[in-house]
Amino acid sequence: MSEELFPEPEWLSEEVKTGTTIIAVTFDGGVVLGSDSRVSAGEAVVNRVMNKLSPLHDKIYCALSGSAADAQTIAEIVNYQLDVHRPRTQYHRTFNKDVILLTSPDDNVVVKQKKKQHLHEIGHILNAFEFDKAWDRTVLRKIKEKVPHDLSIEVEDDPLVCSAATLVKNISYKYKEELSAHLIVAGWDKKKGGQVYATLSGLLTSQPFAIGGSGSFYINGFVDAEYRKNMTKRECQEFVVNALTLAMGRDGSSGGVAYVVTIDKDGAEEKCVLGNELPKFFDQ
Amino acid sequence: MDSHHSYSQVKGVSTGTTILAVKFNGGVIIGSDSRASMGESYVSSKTINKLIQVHDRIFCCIAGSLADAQAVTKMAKFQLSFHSIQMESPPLVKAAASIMRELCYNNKEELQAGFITAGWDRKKGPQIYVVSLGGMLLSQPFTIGGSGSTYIYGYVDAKFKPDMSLEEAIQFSTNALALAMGRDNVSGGVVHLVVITEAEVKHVVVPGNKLPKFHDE
Repeated sequence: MSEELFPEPEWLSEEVKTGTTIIAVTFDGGVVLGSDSRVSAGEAVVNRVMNKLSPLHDKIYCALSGSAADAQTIAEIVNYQLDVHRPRTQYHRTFNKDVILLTSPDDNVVVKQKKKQHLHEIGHILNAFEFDKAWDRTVLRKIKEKVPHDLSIEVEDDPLVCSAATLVKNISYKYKEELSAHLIVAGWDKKKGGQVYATLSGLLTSQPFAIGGSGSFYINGFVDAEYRKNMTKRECQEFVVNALTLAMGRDGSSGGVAYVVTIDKDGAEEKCVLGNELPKFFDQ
Repeated sequence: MDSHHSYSQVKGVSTGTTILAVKFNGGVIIGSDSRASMGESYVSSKTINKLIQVHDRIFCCIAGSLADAQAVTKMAKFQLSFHSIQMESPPLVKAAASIMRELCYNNKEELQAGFITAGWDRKKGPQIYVVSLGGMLLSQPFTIGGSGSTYIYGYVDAKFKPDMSLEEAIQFSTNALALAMGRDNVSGGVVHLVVITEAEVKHVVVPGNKLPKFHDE
């Protein structure tokens, strides 16, 4: 009898989704990521101030959308995996990667398997783990000096944005059937500057900008029309805030405040733009 | 990511489409793409005209099931011409929209089409009315509709200004339709625009290769 009078609210049994709007845009010297802050479970808003921009490393962030639990878990796993790139880290049982040898970028050549084996034999290569586990950075530098100058070692201090995006993509693809989350990975690295990668369902693609989430459908036309290459940092931040505002104005599952993260060679800067500070557009 | 059903679930020929109407200083522009599709993957016509003239200065454009839309507009055209003969003066845009609304509301179970009615009359000048699927009638300064319209909500929200000039309004409509056609796979072909003012009705066609290009093209 009491169940009919007070039925259990639907949102207790609905999956928590970040019906959302996320956007990442490159500019001349870095990237800007933006997201709204609404988390919905069916029709109810269960969190109106969630920050969906999650750090994977100092200068690499990812934007979450889709199922909240799935997206957060992927981001945490990749954050954990990228900790290998910090000096003096712990040994991980599950992460195992050979040092990848690259020829100098000018040569445009991929090193063959035999050469790798040979270098292994003469003692130039070790597992990435053993590198970090046994030796600290001074030894690493000495090894780099001994290795012939036309070979370079991939494990640097800071991970490439491409590596972070690949780790996210690997998880998304492997567990494609079980997970339903879409992460946009963006950041700055020394090699290629600011980059944005979209990793939808296991696809990996580098783009000048990317949008995602339910609110992104409404701003497709706007970002297509307004994006320009090589914007300044200021213009890019304004572009991101405008796009988020327009999407939040039309999508029922996006709203709240806008979180904006700007990443360039000096680091990452987080900012929150409150509802009443958002730009206003034509409204009847 | 949620699966996003942006096409109407109709059998037969449906105009998965993008339509819009914009009021400017002195008139209205009503515009659409030109693709008719069956399901999501077959384009049954590349050059269909979705802008239907129901009276001298009143046009209608349709989104949804093409068959339903043609039946409704045919009936509305007939009723409107009868009405204008009785009144002995050109009909009001609102009258045309009301006729569509009556037909949509009374047959709401069977029909699956939405309409935008736009035109000029002596009483209120340029007007735009939108009749949605269930039969709601609403007057607006600009409106977009059809499956491709979801992609340009942000763009039109940002770019619309009241009282634009004719050139600005044509540019606005062409850009909006081009952007929607660029993202929606059931909208495409050429852009049809009709400019309605007190003096005349002008039909402008912008073929595919003359459409504005954006950053990735």
